[in-house]
Amino acid sequence: MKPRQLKPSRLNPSPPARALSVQISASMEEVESLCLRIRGFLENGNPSLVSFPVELLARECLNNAVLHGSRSDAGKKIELRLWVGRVWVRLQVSDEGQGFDWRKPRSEGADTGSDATSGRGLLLYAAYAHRVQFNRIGNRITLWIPKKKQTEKSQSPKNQSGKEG
Amino acid sequence: MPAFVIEQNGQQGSVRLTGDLTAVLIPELQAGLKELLNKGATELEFDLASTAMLDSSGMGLLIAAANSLSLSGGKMRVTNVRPEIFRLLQSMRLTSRLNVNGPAK
Repeated sequence: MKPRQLKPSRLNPSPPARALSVQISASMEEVESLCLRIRGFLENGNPSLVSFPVELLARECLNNAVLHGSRSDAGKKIELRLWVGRVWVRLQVSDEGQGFDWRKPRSEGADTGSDATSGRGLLLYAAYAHRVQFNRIGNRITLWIPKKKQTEKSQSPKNQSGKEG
Repeated sequence: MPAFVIEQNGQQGSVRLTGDLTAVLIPELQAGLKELLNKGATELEFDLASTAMLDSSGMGLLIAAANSLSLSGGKMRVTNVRPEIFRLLQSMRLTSRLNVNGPAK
């Protein structure tokens, strides 16, 4: 399915109302600590509908960056950037790994309702993000998450990948 | 405070999470569950009343526990799930597979 295109002015929350930029070492403990910081940043004493999906997607991106991008090498760095605009939250995670070929269909991913114990990251992106974009080599991912309440979306993952311009 | 409390009474076992069920917790919880199942628990309850976040690793652990129990004729259920997590499991079509009770009010 072709990803829905949005006008650049709507996708880029400019000027950002709020932003967070953090660099961590590639370890699960640092991911946990950063995710709690993201939760506090998003809620800021006022829990919002967007807090859960943004934290969930941040966790998925960060976990992938640790396990696959950095191969759990705590000497490597991972960078997270978060922009909270009026309509969108834009989440970007990059690592120092070699990336991956996001153009190639992956066969090991779980389908919804399956007994597979891993491989649900892409399903979560499809369920909660409006758009997913990788850089050319695949070591940086950017997601756009709508701030309005999520409605029921497709049960199957959409091909939302696209090269950064 | 421990991240989870595991209790066993004969074939009945329970896991009460005291926080989130996410990747960082998986190795420790996996070891605890393995011990519980090795001691003969065949009915398992996961109480998520204090869990505000469940990621794909946490889902993987719940599915692995359900798979193991179904192989030995056992069963499990997931209780006291918050609405956001219930919706997440619904969107992954896992509420039946994991025997998830409706969202906690």
